Amino acid sequence: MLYSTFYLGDTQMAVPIPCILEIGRSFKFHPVRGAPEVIDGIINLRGKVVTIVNLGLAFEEIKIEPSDESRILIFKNNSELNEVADSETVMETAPDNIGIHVDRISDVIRVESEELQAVPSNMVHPFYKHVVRRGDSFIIILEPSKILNLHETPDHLS
Amino acid sequence: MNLDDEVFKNFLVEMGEKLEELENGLAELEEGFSEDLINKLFRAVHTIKGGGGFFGLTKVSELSHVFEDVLMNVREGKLSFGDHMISPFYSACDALKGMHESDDFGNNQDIGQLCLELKSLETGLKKEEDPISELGDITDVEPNPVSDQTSEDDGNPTTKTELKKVTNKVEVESEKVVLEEVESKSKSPVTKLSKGNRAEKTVGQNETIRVKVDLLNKLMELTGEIVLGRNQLLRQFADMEDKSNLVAMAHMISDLQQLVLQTRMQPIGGTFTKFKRIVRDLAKQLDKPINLEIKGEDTELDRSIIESLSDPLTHLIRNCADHGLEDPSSRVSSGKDRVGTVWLQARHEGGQVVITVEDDGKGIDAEKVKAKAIANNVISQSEADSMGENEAAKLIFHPGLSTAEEVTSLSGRGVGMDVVKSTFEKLGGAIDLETKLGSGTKIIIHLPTTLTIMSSLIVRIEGDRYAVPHSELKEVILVRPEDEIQIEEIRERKVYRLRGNLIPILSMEEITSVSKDHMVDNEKKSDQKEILFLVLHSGLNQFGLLIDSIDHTEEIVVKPLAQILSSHTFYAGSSILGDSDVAMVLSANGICQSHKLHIHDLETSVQSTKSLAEMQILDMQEKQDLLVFRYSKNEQLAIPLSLVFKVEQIEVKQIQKISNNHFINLEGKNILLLYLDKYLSIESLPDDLETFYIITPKIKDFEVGIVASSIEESVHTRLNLDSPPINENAILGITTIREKITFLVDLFSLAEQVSPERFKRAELEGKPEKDRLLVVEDTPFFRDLEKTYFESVGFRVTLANNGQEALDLLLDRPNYYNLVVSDIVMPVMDGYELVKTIKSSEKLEHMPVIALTSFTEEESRDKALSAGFDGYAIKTNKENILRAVEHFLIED
Repeated sequence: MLYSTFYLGDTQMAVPIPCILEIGRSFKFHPVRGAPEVIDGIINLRGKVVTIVNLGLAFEEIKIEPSDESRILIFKNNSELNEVADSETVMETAPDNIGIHVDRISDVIRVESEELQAVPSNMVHPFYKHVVRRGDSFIIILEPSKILNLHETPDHLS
Repeated sequence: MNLDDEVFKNFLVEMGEKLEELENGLAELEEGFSEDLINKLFRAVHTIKGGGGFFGLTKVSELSHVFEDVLMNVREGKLSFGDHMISPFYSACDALKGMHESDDFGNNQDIGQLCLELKSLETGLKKEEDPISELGDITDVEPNPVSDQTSEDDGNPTTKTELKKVTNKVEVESEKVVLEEVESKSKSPVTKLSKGNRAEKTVGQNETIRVKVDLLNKLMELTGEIVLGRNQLLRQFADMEDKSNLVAMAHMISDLQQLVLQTRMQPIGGTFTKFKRIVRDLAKQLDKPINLEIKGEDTELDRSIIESLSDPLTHLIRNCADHGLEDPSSRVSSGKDRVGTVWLQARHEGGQVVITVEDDGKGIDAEKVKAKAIANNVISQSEADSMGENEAAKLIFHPGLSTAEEVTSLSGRGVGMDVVKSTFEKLGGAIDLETKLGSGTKIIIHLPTTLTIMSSLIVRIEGDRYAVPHSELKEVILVRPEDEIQIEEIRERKVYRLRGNLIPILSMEEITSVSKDHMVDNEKKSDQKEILFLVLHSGLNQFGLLIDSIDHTEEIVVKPLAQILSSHTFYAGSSILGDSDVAMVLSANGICQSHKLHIHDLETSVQSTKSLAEMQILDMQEKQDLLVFRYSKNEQLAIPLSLVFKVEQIEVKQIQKISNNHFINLEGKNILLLYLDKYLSIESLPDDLETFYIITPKIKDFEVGIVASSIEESVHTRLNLDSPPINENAILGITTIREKITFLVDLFSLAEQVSPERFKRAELEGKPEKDRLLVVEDTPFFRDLEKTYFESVGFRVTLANNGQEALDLLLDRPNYYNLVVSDIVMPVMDGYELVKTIKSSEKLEHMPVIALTSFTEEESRDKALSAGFDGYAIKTNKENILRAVEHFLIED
């Protein structure tokens, strides 16, 4: 399957491309007062209201500030995902359109299913699904349904 | 019998649905047999049979009975299914459809043949022989037990093959056959029926058509987007010279929106009617005679809301019947009618729908509820002590509290009221309760009429924009440093005294628990600054929300919050505004909930204000809210704020001229502009204006925009009206506001002048013989207004400032006055007390008394009439006032 990769700090991460609706930049964030800090705000994506999660804060690291390089990966919602779903891979995102704000995006990679490795036990994280080796480095494959529903993961929305 | 009509109609709809199910099921059956399918068919036919029997549709029930028997045998395995059954099944289905659509529901139809056919299937297969060869005998053995015209059918053994032949034959024959069928008794009634059906069906199709709800929802959503798009376009091209195409399009979109909204609107009657039945059953079950009074069945609501209403309303009505109403014996012993009454009403009120469920039972024992709430640690003892009756009774909405000491099968399980409450709240509504121990309980539910498109006020709060639905907005208040009434702080809580009631004032900071740097700078200055806040309401709860400024009004489409944010109940959702920014939509309901705001009972708040500043209230009642504006540069004008619908800022170039009249397009409506110098002798509008304001009055059938060059302020002032020095119809009088002479404009006279045919001066037919009126009114403005109105049509008017004064005057000369016209809310002695005293006095009991109030709700009308008033009219409606008076003095 094809994955879109991006960076959070120095870590390269990836999400399956079929889950992604589009990747954009320079959106106008409208703050949601009272919302947890991890929510950057909401944007108007051609008539759709999309909630944006700051990936840096979601990992309890440094907040990603909008910059020339930072991007928003907007995910399909579950029903949009169902329309394109094939029977082989079951994927899940969230009931609503949600975007994640990342430091910068990188290449699209193809990963065969036998390349997917389990997450090493010393770095298990609710958002991690697999790791993939590329050359000398590892790419962490994220589980979209976990990040996009982070209110269901304890200790993430307080 | 209206009720039965309604139930019968519902049954017909259901029967139609079942028939459709049946037909689809048969089509599936043709493709392959399954037990589930047979079960489905069986259930459908069973329902038809039951209903048909109940409503006396003998033929429907007979045929479906036979049909059902066959299906039952198949279902139970007594009969094995074979393809040859399909055709007679279809015939039966078609016949039922024919009956469904015919005028007499097939009661005069001959179905003997068909029943035989179905029976033959059954009997034939039981013998496990070729059904066709058996048929002849069977017909003899069971000669048409159901038909009226048995003889006709005896010699007519129809086999499967024969039937097919007949079918073919009929189909090749011309339409004439179909038409003649009604009279002719031909050999195969079944096939003909199915043909006749088709013809009838096409005729009826124009009236209604089934549409998938899903499709309607999408249509609705799309229309919402189109409305947004229109708003964006209008804004984007606001400066263009020739916008005629755009404006025409905007109109059509408004119409489209209305129509699409209508497709989803349904009268609530269907839901209400079924409660008759429920109440009847309950009465039997509980052994209490109960009378259900239903009002407002025509009130229309969005379909999705209606669908969700049935369960919570059932719960409320059951509560009334089970807990509310006493046993007949205890009712009689407490002096009530043996039969308990439950009132179920719906009505429109200020853009919302209000549903009330009321009983005349024993009321809720607040002490009992309190005790239980304390026992369950819901409230503390001290909280309980400070609660009034209604407030304490509202604790029953708290999860886990139910007052029934005994658990019955109907209620008292301790679940329910909290679920009822949250159901209504999910719909964007609110629930409230009033109870009086010994005399009954009233549950009041406020609901929005539609969920998707809402007219909203866009405001700025600390730099961000928010949308506030008009349905939740009561008023906007500006407090100036020099005003008498300021926002006060009591133990770090801000409150404001709004017409005698203390309402809490919240800031966005308190609501969201997030402070903004921006805020801190302003706060220090705010002591000397003007403060602007909105008064929002959720049910009967009111509170103020501090805002920076008001942007504009807009029709918005509310989009639900993403689940990731759904814990933030103070937002109803978000919306994309005309300039494509996103604004959060505030929810008064959510704010009340998340802040546990419950307003103290009216009694307690009245007590508190009396003790705090009794004088001030009395003072306030003498005052009037006015909107002060200018037309020409120098003259200051004013109109009562209560008559203003809205004020908008307009650019000169937006005006369109059509043959001497000027119009402006606002949100898709063409509004006629009213230049005051045409009607009043005042100076004309300054020429160099680029922007001006239009004031839309809140008067029925008077949709105009009054042009103003500037809006000065809204004042809350004591009104000392001097009569106008010049004879001007549309000027009520002159007063001084902020040291400037100000004309008070009489909007009703203005309306009469603008469209005389619609606002004919309400002439009384002939001079009234009984012409002596006593007008009781505490507000000087209305006192003068009413005096002018009445004198202009020839009455002699005496004025009184309050109930006591009126009573003194009346007792002084009991036979002098012909009619008393009284306000309700007044100091010293209010209207209710006055009318009670008059009606209980021997000398005065025949004196007619009319209530004149500014409350427009139906409720207060009923309240006034039950208090003893002979009539009721709304102050701001001149015609209404005069008609009410005329009725008492001339018609008898």
